[in-house]
Amino acid sequence: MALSGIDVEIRDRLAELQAEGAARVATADIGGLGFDEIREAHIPSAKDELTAIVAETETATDTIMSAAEQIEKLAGSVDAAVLEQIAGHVMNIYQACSFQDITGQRVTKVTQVLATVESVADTTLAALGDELARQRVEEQMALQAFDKSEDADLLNGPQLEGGGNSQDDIDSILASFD
Amino acid sequence: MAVDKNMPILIVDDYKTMLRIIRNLLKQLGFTNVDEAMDGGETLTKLRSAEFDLVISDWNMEPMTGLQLLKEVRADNTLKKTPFIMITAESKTENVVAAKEAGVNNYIVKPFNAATLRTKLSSVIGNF
Repeated sequence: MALSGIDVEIRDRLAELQAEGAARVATADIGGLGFDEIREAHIPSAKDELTAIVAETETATDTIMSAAEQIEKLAGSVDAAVLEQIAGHVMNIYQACSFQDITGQRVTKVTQVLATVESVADTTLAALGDELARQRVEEQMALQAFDKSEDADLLNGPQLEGGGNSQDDIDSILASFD
Repeated sequence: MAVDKNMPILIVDDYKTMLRIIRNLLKQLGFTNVDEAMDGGETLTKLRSAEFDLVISDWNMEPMTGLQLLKEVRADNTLKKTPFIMITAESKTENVVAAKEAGVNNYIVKPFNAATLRTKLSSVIGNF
């Protein structure tokens, strides 16, 4: 049986009320989860901690490198056999210091994950009518469109054990081009 | 022909510590004529204003990545034959293939040691 104009109006209004109710329930649920707190306090705090880790390891690495450079300078006054041993140990120190670059890149990856969580939070809050969150989503979308370089999909950073190629694997790939 | 250990080398990385590490490792291998750049733009400016016999570059830099830098070098008629080694944490097959296709001479994955650096340098500039 066809619905009258009034019936259609009532049905649409009921659907609106249902949607509004769902939104209110969702907002209440999210509020209960402390979604705003995660967005405003936890994520920024985690980012600050990660930034501090990078800064502190960088400072420590600089100190270690400077000490190794001083040892290298002093080594000039010892006999050749000892000098060779010192040079070997100093080289090991230089090599080991490259951990700072790798850990820095890994921390950057984690920071990017946090930014993604932040973005999901904003998108959800925006869908529920949060005007500030909507503005942040729009700003983020504009930035992403601007930042996308042609080989951005090739920036993966350091891989976990077994996730990338070893130097030997890479040498084999390069050799396959010859 | 013996390798001239005074050859000018340009190392490129946006991490100061990494530049210092590579410079010190090169010094221990006997190469002391080393200059530094911290991004692709600075690298191209230096390459166009002085002669370098080798570029050793990181990949993961902004705004120009090491791969884009390599492509710029290979597209420039006066620079295109400059030997180019990539030192990077990017170790996926697609990265290695993309770098090779863009004309990289060798590829070192981080973290690396002095022995690997020596081997790769030898393969590009000759034994020393």
